[in-house]
Amino acid sequence: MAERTDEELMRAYVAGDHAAFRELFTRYAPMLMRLTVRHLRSDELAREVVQQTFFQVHAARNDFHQDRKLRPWVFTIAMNLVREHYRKQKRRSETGLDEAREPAVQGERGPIEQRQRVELLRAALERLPDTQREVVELHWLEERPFAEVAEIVGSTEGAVRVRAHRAYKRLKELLGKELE
Amino acid sequence: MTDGGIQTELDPKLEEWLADAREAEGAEAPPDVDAMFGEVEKQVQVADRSWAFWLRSRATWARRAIAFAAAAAVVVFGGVLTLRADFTELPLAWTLTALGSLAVLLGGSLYLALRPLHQPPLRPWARAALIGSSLAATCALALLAPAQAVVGDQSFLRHVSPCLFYGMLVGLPVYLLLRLLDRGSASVALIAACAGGLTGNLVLQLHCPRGDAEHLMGAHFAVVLLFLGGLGGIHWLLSRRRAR
Repeated sequence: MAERTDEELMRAYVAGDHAAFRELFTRYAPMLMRLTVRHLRSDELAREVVQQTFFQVHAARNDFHQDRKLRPWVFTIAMNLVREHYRKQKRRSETGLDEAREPAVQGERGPIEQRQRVELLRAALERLPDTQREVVELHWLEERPFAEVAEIVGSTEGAVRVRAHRAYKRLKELLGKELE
Repeated sequence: MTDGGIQTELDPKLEEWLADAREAEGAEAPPDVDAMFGEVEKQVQVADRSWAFWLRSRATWARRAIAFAAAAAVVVFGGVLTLRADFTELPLAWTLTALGSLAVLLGGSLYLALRPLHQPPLRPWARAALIGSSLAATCALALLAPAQAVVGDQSFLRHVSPCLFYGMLVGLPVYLLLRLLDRGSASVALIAACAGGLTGNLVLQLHCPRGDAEHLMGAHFAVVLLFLGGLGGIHWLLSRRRAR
């Protein structure tokens, strides 16, 4: 039997199939963990946000339209919770790019160098305005098309493309000589 | 990276770094999905037993319909059925402007207070515009009302308190209902307070025959101010305290 799509699972869940909710959670939890850990920098907080996201999916299940895609729907709920977390915190702790800057390991690219690159990139992402950062993360790291990113962040596709362009330009400036 | 056939210009080196980051995240240990789902399931089971959650989990159009029906009922019972004696003597243009603007603002507040969770939160400028225009409209209605000097020799407090109390009383159910129907959106408290104040003000427009600016400012406009500054302010302070 062919695997059910996310939307079919959601429809089944709204119709009362509880197993479909579990299946959706199994599919989405790893993706949402990646997304939220990147923002919150804490596994525990990210786990709470993912669980809260699914609790809200349950609360809002009657709002799901059959002709809509589920992924942007769930991602928007998760991103709203992340924003709400920021709002409560007022300002997230500022991790400067300098903290992550370590001398690059010369020679062949190995796992340590890759880890350093990832840390530097994450630190650079932190320095982008939130509106640009979420676009890069959703577009590049979550591999969502611009149209879907626009839906998640509540903007137009054109505006999202502009944000992405500015973000990549700024990232290049921030990473400067590390990229050379 | 291509996106729908359109090439996104990206520095090749940066592209490589982003690819590394994506790869590194993919290699991270997966979360303990079973344990996480167990907690969600418990939370869901507890919530499903509550009638308030049942109301909150209705579709957004249904929650909005409930809020609109409740506000309409309050206006009918609190204002239309206790209509001021001189209602038909008021200039038609004034009546239409006053009731129309308050109804539109109230409708807007009810609609915006109950946003679905899958939409990004209301922009701060939209919230500020709604609250600002509600304050401006109710203040203008108090200052520009057809003049009628019936102050008498009552003290200010005795002069304004019955209407102030009545306006707060009829606005409160709308405010509480919006809070009950809210699924936890960040900006609802102030908009719900605005809706409560506008309901009170609209009912007073229909119910109270007094037209002097002192009464209209001290009683009718003050209902909106008290809702926003009082209830909205308390929620705002509480949310700030919780955030600490």
